[in-house]
Amino acid sequence: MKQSLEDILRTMKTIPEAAPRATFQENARIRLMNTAFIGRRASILERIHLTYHIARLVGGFALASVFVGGAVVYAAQYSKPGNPLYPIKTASEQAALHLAPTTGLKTSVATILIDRRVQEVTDGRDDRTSEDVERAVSSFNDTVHSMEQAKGVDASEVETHAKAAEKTLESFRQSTQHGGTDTKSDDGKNHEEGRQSGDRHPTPEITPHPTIELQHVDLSATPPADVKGIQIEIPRSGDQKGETSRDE
Amino acid sequence: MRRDSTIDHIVARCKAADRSALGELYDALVARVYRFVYFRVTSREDAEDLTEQIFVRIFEHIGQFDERGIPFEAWVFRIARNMIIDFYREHKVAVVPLEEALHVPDPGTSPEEQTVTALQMEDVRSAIPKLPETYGEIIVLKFIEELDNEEISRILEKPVSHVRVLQSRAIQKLKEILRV
Repeated sequence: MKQSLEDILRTMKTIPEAAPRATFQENARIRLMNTAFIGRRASILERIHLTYHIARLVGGFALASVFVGGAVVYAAQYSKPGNPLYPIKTASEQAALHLAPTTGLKTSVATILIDRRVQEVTDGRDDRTSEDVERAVSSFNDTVHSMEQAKGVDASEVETHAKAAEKTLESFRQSTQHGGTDTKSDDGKNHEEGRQSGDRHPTPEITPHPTIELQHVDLSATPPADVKGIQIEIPRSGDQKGETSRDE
Repeated sequence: MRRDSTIDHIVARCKAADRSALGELYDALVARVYRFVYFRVTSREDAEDLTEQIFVRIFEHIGQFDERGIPFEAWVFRIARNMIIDFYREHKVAVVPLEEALHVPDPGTSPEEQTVTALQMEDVRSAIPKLPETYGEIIVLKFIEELDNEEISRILEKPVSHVRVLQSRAIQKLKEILRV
């Protein structure tokens, strides 16, 4: 051997193969920097920074949800029993009831909800079926029951209002029985007089009872003073109770 | 091992959660780590894989490195040693294949002399992985990395006197393998 073994060993440091390839060196660096973590807890600044970013993401998502959710809730207000949005409507009503801060306001909300159920029963459309009406009546009954049981409401006031509403519905039922003749049942066929076995609420052309004027329940507006019949008053600020007048 | 103040400074920044310091640490040490691994395994691919794994381990545990103890480079070589040991346990060490002739340009020698030198280097390169574990480490650290015995003793966690003994035995063993 021309060179000693030790000499050869010392020169091996310089061979090209003893150096890492450039591509490997670069790629490994990228991989390492992407996945590297230091085995210790993050500093307070790092945690604050991370929390800030997470809060921004969550806040943005929540804001977007509020906008989208608000639009859906608004659209749901016009839905009827059986509509896919109807549960959203009733859920928002429950939320409004729970959020009302005083007994007076809670009671007002409860009475308004009962009136809404009445309107859902009596709101006439030609394409309504007996099933639709039945659902609406069922929803009315459920609402009355839950409002009477609701915490924080004036139960006697709600009961009084519910009885008035039931009278309204009874009048409506009688008027529909005596009134129209055609009802579209679920099979799409017209049936005379709208009466079938088991069909409790035929819906011919719905004409309001002449002695009853049903007012559209507008949560924001105060009904005109000269309207007779069942009136629902939205209590102004400071008022504790809404007043209802009996139908005449 | 002479404490490299530059490396110590980078390590301090790494421990202070400066992620850019990790990249600087990698740049400063990757060639040495790779070279140490390369002469202990049989292929470049294995050397690259192991080198990357070693740095993953370094980054994971650098927060626990105590700068009052051994020098950081010694700590790094210890990690590299352990991972090479694990590598050999997992992989069966095959017969070292013949490699291409390694060309080491030497303007002062004749073409015939250059060929002889290249073949010898190839033989040596192939023979080092065949050495017993500690002997191979001594050969690489002492003659290729050119560390002093004190630095080697810190890495191998053996007394300096023992390192000298191991060093002479390693050379003898390598000569036996090379039959010179």
